[in-house]
Amino acid sequence: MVFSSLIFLYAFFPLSLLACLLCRTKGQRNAVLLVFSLIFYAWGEPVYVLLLAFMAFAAWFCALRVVQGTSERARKAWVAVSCAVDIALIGFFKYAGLVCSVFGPVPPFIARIALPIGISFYTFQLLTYVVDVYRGEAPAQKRYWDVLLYAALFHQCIAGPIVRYKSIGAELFGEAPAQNEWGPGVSRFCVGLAKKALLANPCGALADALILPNPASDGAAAAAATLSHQSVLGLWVGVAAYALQIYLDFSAYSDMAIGMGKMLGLHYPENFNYPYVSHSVKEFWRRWHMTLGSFFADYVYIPLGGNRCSVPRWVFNTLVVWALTGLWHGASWNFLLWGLWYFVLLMLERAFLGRALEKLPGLRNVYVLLVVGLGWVLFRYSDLSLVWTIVRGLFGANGNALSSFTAETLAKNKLFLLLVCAVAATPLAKRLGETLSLRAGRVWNALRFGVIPVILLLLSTAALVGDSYNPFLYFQF
Amino acid sequence: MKKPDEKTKRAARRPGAAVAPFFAVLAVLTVVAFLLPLRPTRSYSEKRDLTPFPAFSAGALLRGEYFDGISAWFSDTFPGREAWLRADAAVEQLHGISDVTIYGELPADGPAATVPPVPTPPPATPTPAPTPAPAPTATPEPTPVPTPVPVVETAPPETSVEEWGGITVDEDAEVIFGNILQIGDAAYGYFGFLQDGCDAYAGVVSGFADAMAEKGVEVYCMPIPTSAGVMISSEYQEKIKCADQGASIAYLLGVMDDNVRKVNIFNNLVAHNDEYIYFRTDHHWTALGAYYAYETLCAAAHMEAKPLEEFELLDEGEFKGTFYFECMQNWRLRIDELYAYLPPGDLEMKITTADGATFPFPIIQDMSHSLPGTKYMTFIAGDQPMTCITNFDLPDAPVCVVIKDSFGNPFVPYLSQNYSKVYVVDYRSYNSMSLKAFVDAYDVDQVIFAQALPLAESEGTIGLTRWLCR
Repeated sequence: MVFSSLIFLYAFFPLSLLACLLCRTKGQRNAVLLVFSLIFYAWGEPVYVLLLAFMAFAAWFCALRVVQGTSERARKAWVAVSCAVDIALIGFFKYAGLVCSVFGPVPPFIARIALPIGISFYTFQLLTYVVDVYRGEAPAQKRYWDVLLYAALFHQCIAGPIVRYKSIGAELFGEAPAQNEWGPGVSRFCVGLAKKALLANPCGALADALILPNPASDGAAAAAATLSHQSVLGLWVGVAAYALQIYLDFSAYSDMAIGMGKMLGLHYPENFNYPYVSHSVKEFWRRWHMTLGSFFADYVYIPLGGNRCSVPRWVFNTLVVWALTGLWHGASWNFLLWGLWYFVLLMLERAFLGRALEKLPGLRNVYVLLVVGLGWVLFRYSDLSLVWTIVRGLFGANGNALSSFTAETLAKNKLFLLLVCAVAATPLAKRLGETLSLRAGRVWNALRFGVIPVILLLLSTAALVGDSYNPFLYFQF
Repeated sequence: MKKPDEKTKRAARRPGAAVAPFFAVLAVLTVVAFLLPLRPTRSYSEKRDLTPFPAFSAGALLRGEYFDGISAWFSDTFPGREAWLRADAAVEQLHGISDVTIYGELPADGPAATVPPVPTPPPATPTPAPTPAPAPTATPEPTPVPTPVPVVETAPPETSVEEWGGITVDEDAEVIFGNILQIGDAAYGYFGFLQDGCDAYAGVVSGFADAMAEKGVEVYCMPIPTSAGVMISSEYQEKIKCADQGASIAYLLGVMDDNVRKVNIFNNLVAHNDEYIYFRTDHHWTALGAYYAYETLCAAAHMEAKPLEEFELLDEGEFKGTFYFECMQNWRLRIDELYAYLPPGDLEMKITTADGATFPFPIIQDMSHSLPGTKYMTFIAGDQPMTCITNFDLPDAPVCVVIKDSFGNPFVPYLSQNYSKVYVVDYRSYNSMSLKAFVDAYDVDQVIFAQALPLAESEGTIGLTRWLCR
């Protein structure tokens, strides 16, 4: 089940909310949330809910052993056991095919393994739980059900944000009454829903029309032949549409998760901060999927030594982080290269590019959009020949025309949509809202909490009823 | 300070007045979503059955298919679906500049599939000498009467016009294309040339004609172009990478053996493309378009085409065809008017349905009171496996069998004026005897292949035609 589905909007979401409202205590609410979360997960993965339950059990058990450990060595050993279980399971379910492909044909039983929904998200959350307990930054939960709820909570289980246990534990399990923020929660949820249904989905359809979806392995040659004829204009518009889709799609899901959390008094961390307005790749990654970036910083980069070490070691640490970042997004070589692409860019920025760009303030954002856009091409296609075809075609090196009837017509056809999406990728609307809030607080609050959410809900419903194109890009990361 | 009691705390947890409109709408739509009688089972705008509630099985449950099915059912049959679709379409209009809009799958931007030149040189005499039809009775006069001057000059296959006028795009026109190309108030099916398909189809028909030549049975092949090929100007077709149907027909007929009598109706249709010869909301031609094909066939077969004025014009009212139900922005399409031409004479038509039942049926069925989207039964009862029209006024005229798809339906009634019996076989559903056996069993003099060009070059049609001609 995804948030941008009618069954979620008009069955699961209202029923879960109503059940939570009827609860008298936080314990009852958590029990309700756990039941709904397991149903939510089982809806898409009826069998893999057992995997989720087992991984939560392993984390719960190991964390208890960590706090009960009599020696540092024993405590570390239990952390290692927990990490080993998590890494082994995610390795088997997500990366076994990739690893086997290095040594030859992938065995059929490996190829048949379906990726459990959200495994990358809840595995990382469980890792933070055990490590935070080990570091003394969070208490160990005595009840298994509470750890399971933390991992399975449907708001963020399958698509983030990656919520660390120490940042949500108190709100989820603490004694303090929940600070429900209905207005901001509703507003944020509807904005996310509209970003997904009204903006991201049409952008995705436009991108598919112009630069084709990632084809099956046996369709790559045909796709490359088709793409080699696509005009320069068509490719640029297609890549731009995909860049907008992937941002709007992913941030929309985070918005909806954050919004639902606010309604129940749970405050999840922000995951995006308008990354496309960045002036460097370094800044981009401070604004893009922030919870993943901070996870790798705190749980991989710094434990490896961070930058307080020799230059070669620092380069190695950075390389590891970006290789893992790439592979986290998918078990395919193009994802690894996508991560390494950013490693190279960050190294170049550190070496000289950053300083050079500071002298060209007008071009810094153009540079970021260009390199990030090229990165999305790498992200999109598992067959690298398609990446090369697109990159060449963007500069007319395929012998492709500058423009074409289809590209021009499609671009005109979706011109306003692209403009609205581009504006939605900047903080302009947010700043306008802040200004209105200062100048006409009550009226603006009535609009943003009462009127605008209703309009967005209705428009999104219409789009979802009529739209068969409703992919969710980060669904299985 | 007084500690808030449980009631106060619970009140604080409830949504405030500011968000009441949102939760009111959410609650209403949630209740409506669960009112099962309000859930549609069929979409009339999309002309399809909506997703049914899935059947339960343990296997489907474990694979996640059962819940996926419920999600699909919940979404697809959402109450008020048609209104939501209209609202969504209205929003989609705002996506871009309104004079040009595109949706659907697009052809590649590369060069359109080019049609190779006709491989065989033109025959010295394009139109073969008239062949006296075998007289089924002792009547000495040969029938039909050869036409001294064809009504329309039959173009040899290799001389399809290379340029023609027609629909062009100007600032006022609106183009929407994907699988369907929408220009202004009319829609057109996109066409792509398949050389392998044309070669294979030509081989099947040629082989059959060779076999029939020994029996003195004439085999005609009349590929039918679709509206995109005829109504849209050649210049604009090139721009939108739509393959040239005139050249495709010329190629197809050109690769056929000489035993096949080739009927190229393309030029005659193009000559009339300022008339109402194709529907705007449907992929078929109108009865008027079919008449021009009949003219060309008569010219090729040296028969006299019955003037159109001698048929009774019937107005069957508004008609909404397949394109209407496939185009998201169908309100831009101008609703069609369905006209039929009732052939004169002492005629009888019998249809044989898929279950083998045979019974008489009107050649033109009055569908004027039917829903605009359900008028495909108007001509020869629609697509039936086999149909026979008998003209009791022409007992001595030859007998023909028409191998057709749905394009043949408005075309067949005209043939009743030149043949004593017109057998009609829909190759897509006829599954009885082979065509060779059919020709023998019903004393057929002429076999006419009248299939739409996009179907003729398709794998499915080739297989079925091959099976029929076995």
